[in-house]
Amino acid sequence: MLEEIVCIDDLLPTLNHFKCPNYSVKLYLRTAIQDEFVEFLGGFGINSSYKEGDISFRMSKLIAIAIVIYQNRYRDELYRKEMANPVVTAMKFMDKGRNDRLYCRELISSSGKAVVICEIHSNKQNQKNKHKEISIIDKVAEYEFKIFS
Amino acid sequence: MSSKFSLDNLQQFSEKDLRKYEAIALSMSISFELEDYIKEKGISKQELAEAAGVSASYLSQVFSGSKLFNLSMLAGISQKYGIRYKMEIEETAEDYQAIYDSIPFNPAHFKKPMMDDVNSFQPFDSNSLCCVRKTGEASGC
Repeated sequence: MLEEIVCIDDLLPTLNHFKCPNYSVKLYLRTAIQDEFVEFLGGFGINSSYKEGDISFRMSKLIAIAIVIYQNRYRDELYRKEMANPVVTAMKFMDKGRNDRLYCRELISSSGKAVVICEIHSNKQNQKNKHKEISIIDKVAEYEFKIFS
Repeated sequence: MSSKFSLDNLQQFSEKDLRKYEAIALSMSISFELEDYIKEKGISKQELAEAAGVSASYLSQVFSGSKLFNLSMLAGISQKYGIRYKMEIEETAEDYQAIYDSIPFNPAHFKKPMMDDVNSFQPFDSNSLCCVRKTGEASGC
């Protein structure tokens, strides 16, 4: 089954220092987790002033991660390939005393790279990947996608 | 649950914190330059932190966008390694939206492109991603 994905680049604010890379990179989200993603950005469950539709809680971190991704780079603190399966990457939201991750798939073509946010893993408890993480990574590696517009 | 993407909310939040986000983007841009430099010179992040006058942990937070570079840190690095930062002020294209709209497949990181960027842009081919196999390599449908 093909997973529907939607481009979320427009979600990010217009910044003059989003340096344009020589390589085209776009950011997508698996539509099945759209609601969960909005809640994640708003800090649902951990943000005492959470309001539905508010995505400001984690926006700063998402912007920092997006900057790394748009530069076609990796950075251990923010965005890195998973050792268990390098087609899977993890966005790291290690702040506010938490260790939350968004697991992504990287799709490479001759014209550029798409990074698809596939799964949300809240508050990873251990430094090394355990069964739960491995199982998510395996699942993400298996997805096939179609673009939904 | 009605928490669909709300453009109204996004605009509102973006406007409110735009200065903070721009500062993160600027600090991250500096970090990329320094990252390339220390890789080339074989300098560790620990050494870079010492030169900047901060702890390795603090520098890690700067590299992750949680903290920002300040001029004192950059001055320390400059003094330690005998480097000078080149600064250039460039206006973003005035009619950037028209340029942006003229691109067949809008790359979203391209919000306010410079003219040089526009000239060198290679459109992203979305069709090549419509059928993707497990390996992560795209194939046409």
